[in-house]
Amino acid sequence: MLARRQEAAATAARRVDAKLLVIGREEVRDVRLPDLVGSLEPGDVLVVNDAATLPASLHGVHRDTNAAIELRLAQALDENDPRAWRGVLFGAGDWRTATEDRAPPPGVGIGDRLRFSATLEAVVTGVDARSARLVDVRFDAPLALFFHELYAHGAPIQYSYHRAALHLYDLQTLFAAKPVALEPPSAAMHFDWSLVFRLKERGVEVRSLTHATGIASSGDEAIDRALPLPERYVIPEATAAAVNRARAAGKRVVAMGTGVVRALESAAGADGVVGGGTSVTTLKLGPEYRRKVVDGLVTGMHEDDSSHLQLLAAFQPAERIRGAYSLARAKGYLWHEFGDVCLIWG
Amino acid sequence: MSLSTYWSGKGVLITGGTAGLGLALAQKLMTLGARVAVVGRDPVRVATVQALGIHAITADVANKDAIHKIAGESAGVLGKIDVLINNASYLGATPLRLLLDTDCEDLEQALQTNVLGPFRLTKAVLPGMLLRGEGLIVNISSDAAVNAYERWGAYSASKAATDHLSRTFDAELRAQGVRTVALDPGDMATAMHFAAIPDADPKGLADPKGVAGKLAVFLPLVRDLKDVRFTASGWRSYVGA
Repeated sequence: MLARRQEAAATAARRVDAKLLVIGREEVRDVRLPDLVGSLEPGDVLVVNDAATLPASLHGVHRDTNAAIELRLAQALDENDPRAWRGVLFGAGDWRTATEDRAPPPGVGIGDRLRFSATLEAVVTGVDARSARLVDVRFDAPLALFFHELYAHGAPIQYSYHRAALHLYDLQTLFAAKPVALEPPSAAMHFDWSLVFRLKERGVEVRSLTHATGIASSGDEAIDRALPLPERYVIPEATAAAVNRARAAGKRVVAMGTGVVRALESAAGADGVVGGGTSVTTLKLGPEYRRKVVDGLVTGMHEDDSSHLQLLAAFQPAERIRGAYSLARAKGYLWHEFGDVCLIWG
Repeated sequence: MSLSTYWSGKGVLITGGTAGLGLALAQKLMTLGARVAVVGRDPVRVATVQALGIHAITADVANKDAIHKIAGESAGVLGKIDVLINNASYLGATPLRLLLDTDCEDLEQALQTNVLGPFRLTKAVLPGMLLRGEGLIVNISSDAAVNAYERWGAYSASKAATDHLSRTFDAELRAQGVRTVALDPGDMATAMHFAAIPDADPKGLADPKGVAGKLAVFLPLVRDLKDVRFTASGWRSYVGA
């Protein structure tokens, strides 16, 4: 669960001079985001995630019981049909109540209908064995109108530590282009294009892939244990080629965000060569994982997120990360998705 | 490169695309193989255009909350956005009136629809273009942006502002592979023109379908042209029209 005592950056304002914690192999540095340019070398490749954040929270009614529900989309189930989803059901209420305190939803069965508006309904097509709140649904809007209905009736997923309702425009990262993310791939929250252009001027190659960032927490222990759910990624051939070129030349591959790490590592063969294409990743990195492709990671500060810390442990020993985070606390770093930034080298 | 080679498979987003030049462009570019989405405020016109097989989105570009919905829905349906045509325009209160008689709220509305809306939507579609290293932003302008016509003050100022945003965007982004242009399509027989000049003689006005056809030939050329802003006769000179 997310600690209240941490200073969560509650505003969505971009801070181009956000603090940057650089956890290197030898030393830990407390610098600023613009110093990222000097931390990378000509020929290094920075791979970013171009996923745009969907308005993945839908409020509606379970038609069989007339009970108020919220459905949070958590996993796209069919790469050829955007109407098939796995989602997490909540009872009445919304983000203002902490996820773990939310009222449970009514029990639902296969065939039950969920109504979100006069023009958007979904039918339950499955209930997960791990939790009755993890359901498969199929929206019955015509394919051509599905995105329209989702954008018309959905709101962004958000949490009780946010002080105000977020607009969809607050949750798009600098690179947002493909509407597939359920929550923002937030590592790039404070980047601006000026920084990107300076990185390119330095000779850093900037490439993208699409990784469908999933939900961070569900308030249901059984579902939380199952997170992250399988996440689809698409790696363009040009990105794969750039990554392979850099590795062959002894340059470094830096991932912007943990989703990019998981996509690249999943797409790499045993020899570390990355293939372009689309697939689904269930990879969970931890201290035992031997990285094949990614040398460095730019990410946010998420101390209480144990799966996040596990992933960082694939780069540096846990004690070094704990020590670095102590420094960050002492220096007043801000946490969560609008917080400060971390660059960790493996 | 042949015309359909350029347009084939290109994702094109057109605002103000349910009537006039916007709709004509949508239809023309689709016949050339582009994937097109249009935006309009009127749900009835949107439904009519949707029935023609063109993906149409009901939204007001002046609404900040609508921008990422427009960009997201378009990207979801088209796959990617290669060309953004900011064509939606607010004329100002009609009958057109002296600037001196113009309410500040009408000037604000013109700035919201004609400047802020296109600015926000441009920023929302640029990431995809910059990551691919290519893209085209087209801002539909007017000779009112250059000449001082009585009673056209609010509209003129807003078009002049977007012309200059176009110049700055082009200066910042051309090296990254993204071109930004502002062009005056010329006077056309459209609802907007008659709203401005009710007694205009239709015989002196161009057919928007004809203009759309010529623009479809001109736009692929801009990548290799130096200028940002094109007058009505200026861009036509490149297509022998």
